[in-house]
Amino acid sequence: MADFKYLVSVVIPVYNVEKYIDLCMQSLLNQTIEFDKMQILLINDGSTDSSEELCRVYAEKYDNVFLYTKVNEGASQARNFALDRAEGKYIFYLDSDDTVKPETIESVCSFFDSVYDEVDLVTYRIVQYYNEKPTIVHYRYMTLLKTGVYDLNDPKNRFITQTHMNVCVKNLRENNVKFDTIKHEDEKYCCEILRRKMKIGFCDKGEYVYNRSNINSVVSTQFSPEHIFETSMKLYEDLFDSFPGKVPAYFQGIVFNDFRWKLMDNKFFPLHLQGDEWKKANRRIDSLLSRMDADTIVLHPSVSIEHMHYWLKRRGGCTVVNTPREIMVCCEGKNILSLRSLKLSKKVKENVTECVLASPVFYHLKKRNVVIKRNGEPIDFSFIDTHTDPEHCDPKELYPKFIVDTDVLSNSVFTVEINSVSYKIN
Amino acid sequence: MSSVNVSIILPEVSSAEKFNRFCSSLFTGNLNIELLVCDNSGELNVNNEYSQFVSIVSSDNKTEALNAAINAVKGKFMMFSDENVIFSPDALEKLIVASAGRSAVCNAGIINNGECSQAFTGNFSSEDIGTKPVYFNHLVSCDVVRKNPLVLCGSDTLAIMLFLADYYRYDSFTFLREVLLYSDGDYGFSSDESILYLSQYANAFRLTADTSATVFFVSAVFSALLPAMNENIFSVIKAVVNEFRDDTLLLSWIRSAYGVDTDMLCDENSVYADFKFIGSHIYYREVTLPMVPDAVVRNFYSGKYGIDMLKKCIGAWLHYKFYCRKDGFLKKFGCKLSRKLLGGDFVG
Repeated sequence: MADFKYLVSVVIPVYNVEKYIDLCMQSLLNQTIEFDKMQILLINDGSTDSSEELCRVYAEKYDNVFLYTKVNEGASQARNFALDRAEGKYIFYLDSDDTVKPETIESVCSFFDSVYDEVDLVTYRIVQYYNEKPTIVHYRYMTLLKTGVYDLNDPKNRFITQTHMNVCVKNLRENNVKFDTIKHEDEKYCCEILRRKMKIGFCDKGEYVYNRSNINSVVSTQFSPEHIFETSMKLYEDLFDSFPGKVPAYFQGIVFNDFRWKLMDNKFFPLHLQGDEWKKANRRIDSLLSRMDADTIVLHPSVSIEHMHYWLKRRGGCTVVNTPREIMVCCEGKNILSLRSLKLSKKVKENVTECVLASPVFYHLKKRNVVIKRNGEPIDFSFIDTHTDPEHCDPKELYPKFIVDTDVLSNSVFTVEINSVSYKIN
Repeated sequence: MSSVNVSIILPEVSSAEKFNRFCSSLFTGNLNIELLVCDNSGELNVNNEYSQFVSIVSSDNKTEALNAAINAVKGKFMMFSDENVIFSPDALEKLIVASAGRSAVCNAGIINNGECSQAFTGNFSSEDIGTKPVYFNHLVSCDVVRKNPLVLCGSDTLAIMLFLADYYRYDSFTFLREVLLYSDGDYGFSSDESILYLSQYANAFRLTADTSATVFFVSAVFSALLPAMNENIFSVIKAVVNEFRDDTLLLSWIRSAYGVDTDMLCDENSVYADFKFIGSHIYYREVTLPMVPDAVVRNFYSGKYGIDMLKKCIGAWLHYKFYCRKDGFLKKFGCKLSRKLLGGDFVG
């Protein structure tokens, strides 16, 4: 394209990364593409360490490296600042503590050229490194298997969840999508670009080396619910509301994935809220879940069985079908759980034993549907119903529990009646 | 004023355990539900926490009990159900919302050997709902049932399907493609009693029903009868197909969906047999049915009828027309003339 001065612009927000910036710049100098085809935009976002001096060395040495220093406003503003100055046909984003493998920019650009009219965004592999060791590969690469264009309207692509900046986008100059100043800015940015064409390109060559050793990184510090709950809920509600009918499976996947990992890391529930505010927050969560397909939850590649049932229970649409032979949980005409008997986990505490019926089938039941019997006689048990008792949100707490004297345990036979049908407890 | 939202009719109860399970899945929400159980044994003892919502309808004859239950419903909506059914927690609420005050049908999950599958494919339509003996997924409006002459002709599965197909002659229905209930019963079409009434139904559908109701009816009949083919069933199917012999679109649909040679079932012989039947009735002065002129003309032009046969048909038709006139010279003369056209088969 003759009217662009460079082939690519690489946007690098710089904030207190003196340890990493050299590595980052080095990875760009090592690219297989000629260095002067790239415009490097270093935006010093008010660093208080020696980052600025380190960057200046590069800016003075190379004509295509530009350093801008501004007051600290966060990565989003820094990126927007750079977008206004980008003169490359394509735009890459690189965080100053991360690097890219040498063939990345050349391969991604040449693939992008071949699908220029079809997509607005091309993604490439991102691998997380802790202390220079790669961690497990993200599940999205079970979908993104080879270079090509992926249709985001196709439900089988629902778990691509492009939420990081391992992307290359077209430079549309004044029409560029800008970053919001809120958190989750990467996610929102990618969603906004992708929904235009509902297609994403994937280039199999190249890799974004995502350094998770840097504890100052935004991701590791600010994702606690007090900071993020309101922002992310608002973001997801706006996203869902922008689709008057069914929300495309891809965007359901984005939101569910966020819910999923936050619950796993105990960062999901806004426990700082109380009373009506807490109830309202839970209603908001449930209303987002109710707009997701069951498949988004059931098929997610990295949700545990326990959590899957927890989320499905909140979403609704599951039915416990108990035949005399087995207990099944069915959702949209498919069984997602099938049990012949139930297991009792026991914890001995001196004279008494705490027993828990830890099966996700109970997420889908209410206390009135369940009777627990010891030697044929009904016994008292506690079983939290989240409809009446919404304060409890830890999935582990939502199982029926009861206490028996340890000395009678050996001659006790327990059974449970679910909707009047009786099952053995082992 | 009726405060009951939904009346559920249970044609029979065979196991207390299943009945209790059925009740615990039915009475969950905030709806006012009445449950009418048909029980002829007089042995059913409703002994659970829901007994106040349950009434028992008994009669020596099961069909009468079911029709009595239909007459006794107090709800705005009614639904036939089965003790093997388990409702998902908000099934009835969702059906009521979807029905918009009329009727709605949802998908059902069928449990078989510990596996669950959907009764119908995701986008099922009126072509599909008759094909399976699944009647417990239709929520219908009691007003429509009361205002129209809807009765059950038997107590078998096909009778209930026919009732529902008949219902759809009077009301449109909304498809809710979600699976809202599950069943782990053994399903098969039973049709012992209702088979006697099929030609009457067929006549009513031909004369008054729209395509989707007709397709519902025809597919229920074929799905129920074809697997148990015998001489008796063959003649019933023939009678049903013959009723729709002018509806070429429907016949070709039957051909493609069920592989039935509809041409063979309403071939020239059977038209000729009808023709002779009418003719003999002319002789006995009990004319019941005119020939269908369109069919005769079409058969002539397609080469099925020769010129002689056409003449006979025109003769029979004219004879019928004259015969229906007031007594007098014109009737006498016309009948004489047309009998001549008819030829030797008919002796006036």
